[in-house]
Amino acid sequence: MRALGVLLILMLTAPQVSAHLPPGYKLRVATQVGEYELRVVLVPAKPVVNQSFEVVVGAVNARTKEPFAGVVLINGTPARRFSMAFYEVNLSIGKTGRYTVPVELVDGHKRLGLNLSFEVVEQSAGARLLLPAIILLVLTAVLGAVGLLRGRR
Amino acid sequence: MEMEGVMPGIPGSLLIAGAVLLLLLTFGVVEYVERRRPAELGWRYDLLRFAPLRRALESRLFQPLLQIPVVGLFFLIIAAGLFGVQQADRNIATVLTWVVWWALIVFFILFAGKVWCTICPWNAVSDWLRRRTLWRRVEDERLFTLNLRWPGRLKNIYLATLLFLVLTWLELGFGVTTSPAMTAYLGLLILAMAVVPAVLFEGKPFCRYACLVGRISGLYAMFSPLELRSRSREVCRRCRGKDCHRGNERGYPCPTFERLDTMDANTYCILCTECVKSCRHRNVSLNLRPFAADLFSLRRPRKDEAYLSLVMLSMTSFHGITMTPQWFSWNLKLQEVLGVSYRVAFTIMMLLVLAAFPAVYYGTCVLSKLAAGGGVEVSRIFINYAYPILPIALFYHLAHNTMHFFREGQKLLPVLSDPFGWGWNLFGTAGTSPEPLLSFTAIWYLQVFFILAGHVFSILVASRVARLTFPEHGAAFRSLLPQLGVLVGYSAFSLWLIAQPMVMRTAM
Repeated sequence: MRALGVLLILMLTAPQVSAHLPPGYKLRVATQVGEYELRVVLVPAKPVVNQSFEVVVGAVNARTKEPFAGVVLINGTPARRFSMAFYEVNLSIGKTGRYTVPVELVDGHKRLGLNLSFEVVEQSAGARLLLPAIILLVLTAVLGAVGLLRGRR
Repeated sequence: MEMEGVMPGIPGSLLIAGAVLLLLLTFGVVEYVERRRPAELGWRYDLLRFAPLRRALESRLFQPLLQIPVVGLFFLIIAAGLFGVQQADRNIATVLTWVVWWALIVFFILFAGKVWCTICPWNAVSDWLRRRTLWRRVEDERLFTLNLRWPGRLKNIYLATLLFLVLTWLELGFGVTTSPAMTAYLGLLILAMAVVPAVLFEGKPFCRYACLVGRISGLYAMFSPLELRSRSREVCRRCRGKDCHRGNERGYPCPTFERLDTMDANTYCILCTECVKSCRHRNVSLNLRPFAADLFSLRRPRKDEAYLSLVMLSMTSFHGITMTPQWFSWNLKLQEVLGVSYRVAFTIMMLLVLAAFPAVYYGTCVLSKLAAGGGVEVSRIFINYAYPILPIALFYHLAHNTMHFFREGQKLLPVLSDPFGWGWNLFGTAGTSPEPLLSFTAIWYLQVFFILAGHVFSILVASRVARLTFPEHGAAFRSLLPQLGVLVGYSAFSLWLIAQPMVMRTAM
């Protein structure tokens, strides 16, 4: 029980962003270009230098969820396709803040473009840990109740 | 052209060859069974004849020593899922869980039955919390549990079936397999589901009735060539203590309420080896046996198991369907016709597939009854003939997972060095892009082999079930004919599925 309590406190208070590795950075993006839905993932570039990231853009058909089959230009550079629906380029995004990256989807003669505007924020400690914390709380409550009831027997 | 993240289906020529072989094997096996009437496969080889193995299993340290590293990996997955980079192919949580574990577990079951349960981290943590020790035998009164009785209405595996459906819905509808955080949530949720019943109820009711992994592997393990059984039923009958069931100072009572004198299938045994420790007569054996032995003998067919068997077949097929290009157009059409979102259309299609397989199967059972000329209720035919479906589901699962593991399994290497995706390079393998473990051609042949093997076993089991259900030989054979038709249909559908190009798990 004590160990669970300590773990719970640690999980709720642990900082999400460490000094040189920012896994807790969160990207807010909700945008559509034509019929395509773009999803953005930030990945720390390898090796991690000055907190640079790879910007990964996922492009799927908004209605069918079918991956985009053409060429994607991110910041004017043809993006490397590393899986069916994701394209990536390396961009230096050092800090939190608002960024605008031009993205173009080229499929034959069809060309769809937009400025993908997104905000990089530090994720609040509670956001990703909320559900685990609830699970841990329920577990702690059940274990505590069982302990009390066993004590009374 | 090869596209990264997409597995091309088997070539047309292999599909046709597979279909021809499917039909030839169907006729060949039925002919063989009808002429030879093979006797029940009865050979067994007890691995516990090896004294070192017996001593290891009798030791209380045996299970914890296997569990500790797996629990360590489990918490690594939770940590990486919560704190690591949220990208499927760069986080160990998704790669280890869905590409390695989820793909390989079916292979483990095929060769070693319920061995996963022996090392299961959810089971381990709930045991350790309950016992408040890693390995010692604690007196029953000192166990951290209220020892309540599991409700009688829930003494079946419908709860596990429901959880399996929920997992499939979450996996395919919400992309759990591509989200490290959701993978961690799911792991923690199952941990809570294992721990809470363990501290409230007697035994391990979660393992017995509710664990979706345990129950699915339980049915598949009827096929496995490894079993834990009593050496002699006579010794069990004379045993007064029934220590395997009640426990003693050396071992805990069977956590899934099994008794060695009545246990005749692998389904509910979790290979915890407590009975090996507690049996005073050393009457427990760990046998090698022929494949599908439990299915051939089929002592106590149950309705809940029959339903899970059908759900497993329909959901493994549905899983394959959602990875095909046709899925996108079908889903779009449904969205347009009904004016609903992608997720609603997905749910409707999942329910349709879920209903379609059992509906076709029920119709076949009615035909079997008519063909046999009555005498046996449709409900009995429905339950009994559900078991021959298991080899088809298992081997399609194997064929499907062959693709996942052998095309994506190598992705474990870079994430081992950089489990959180933070740019580490612990073993010098980060950033590497190893080649897939097998070529497309090798995978295609393996897939076709698996589907044909599953089909052959399903026909063998079906003919055995026919004789168990209908005592009269003519009626048994006539009842079998509609079932053969549907088994050929299921296997042909499996062949068609592996002929479709499919999107890989770490692709999005």
